[in-house]
Amino acid sequence: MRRGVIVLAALSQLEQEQYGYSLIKELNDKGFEVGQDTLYPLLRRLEEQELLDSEWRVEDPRPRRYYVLNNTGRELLIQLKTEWREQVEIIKEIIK
Amino acid sequence: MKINEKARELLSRYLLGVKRHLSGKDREDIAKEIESHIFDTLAERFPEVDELTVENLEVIFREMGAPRKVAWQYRPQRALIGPRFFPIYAIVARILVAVVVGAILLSSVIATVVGEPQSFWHVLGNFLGSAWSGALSAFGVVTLIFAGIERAVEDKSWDEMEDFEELKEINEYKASELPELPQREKKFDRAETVFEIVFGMIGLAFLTYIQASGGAFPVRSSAGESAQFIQIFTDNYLPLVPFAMGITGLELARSITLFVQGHHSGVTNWWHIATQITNVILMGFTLNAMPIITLDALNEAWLNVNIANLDATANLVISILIGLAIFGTIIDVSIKTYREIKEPSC
Repeated sequence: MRRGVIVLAALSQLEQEQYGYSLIKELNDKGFEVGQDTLYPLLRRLEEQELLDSEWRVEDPRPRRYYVLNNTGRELLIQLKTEWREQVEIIKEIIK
Repeated sequence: MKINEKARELLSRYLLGVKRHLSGKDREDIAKEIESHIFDTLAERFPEVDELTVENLEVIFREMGAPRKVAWQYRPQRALIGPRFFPIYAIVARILVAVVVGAILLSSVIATVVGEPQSFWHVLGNFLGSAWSGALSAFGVVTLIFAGIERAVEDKSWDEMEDFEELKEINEYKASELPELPQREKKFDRAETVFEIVFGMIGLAFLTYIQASGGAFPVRSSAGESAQFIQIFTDNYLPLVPFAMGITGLELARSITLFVQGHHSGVTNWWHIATQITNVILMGFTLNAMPIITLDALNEAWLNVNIANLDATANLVISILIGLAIFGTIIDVSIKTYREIKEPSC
């Protein structure tokens, strides 16, 4: 279950471009714990699935790889958000 | 933020360790991204440090774990034995193969002492055959068992494998286990490779000619006379020519591969070692086939020099040269094999 949630969490933060470390920081600051060992390979897989675009950019003092959602990724994110909200409502009903 | 020389070397060794557990075209790119992440983490953890040291880096490496652990996250789940189990698999396979070969050696010695007298070559052949099949069987069984374990836990992440404490321990970061940087790695030289390709093609053409002409060459004794074919290579050498062509062809294919890929790799280095070993064997057979050339007819028709025992002298010189080549190649192969095992090329 967590694997699916990580995808949703990562995609949701990539409407604006981010590099790996900044994305980890942002997710962790929002209370969603994720490490480099999970996030970097995930970003590459999402890019392979053509959900993300990426580019290397040299910004002082070192090069960083920036990721951002493309149109396909945006469509999937909308779909995942809808499914997530529906699941949350169902689970709320079940456990109340 | 600067990084001192020792820390830079440690970082390079760590990234080399990661790359060695990765394959595919993205290997360099993944290593570059990990390096970028390490520097981002260092900048946040040690903002007050002007020059990063080995100690600073090791704080981050201990959190990340051994290079194979980092690399494993990027690999598809298709590996027969993934890096989680590979260290234990390698140890078990080595021990088991050594035990099996040792047991076969012992049984061969006992059979030789108490059994029917046999020639040395017969005993050696039996031992090598048994050792090879025994080692292969042991290796196959261990591989199958570990492949089964790998499949059984393939859906578990590294951290979920609480039951494998020993496994977690060997996947922890240890500086002593990082690969050394290849100090003496041979640099790719395009001109040298082109020379090897050209030389290989000339060699292959020459051997093809010897094969086709039966070791004879056209010689014109004086101007105006038609050329006559004179036997230079003896019938002893001709059966070895197809093998020489095969080895030259393999080496030529290696040079072309090297030229296309543009760098030395584990494949091209082991390929070179294999062809050198085959070449040593062929040179051994060539020595055994002496005399391989005959110059008397050539001397009579063209050279006209007065040297007693010309054939014997020429073959003796060739024997000495081949002997020296065998000696040099064995040393060269030993060094290359040792280096390739100790510091495998990517």
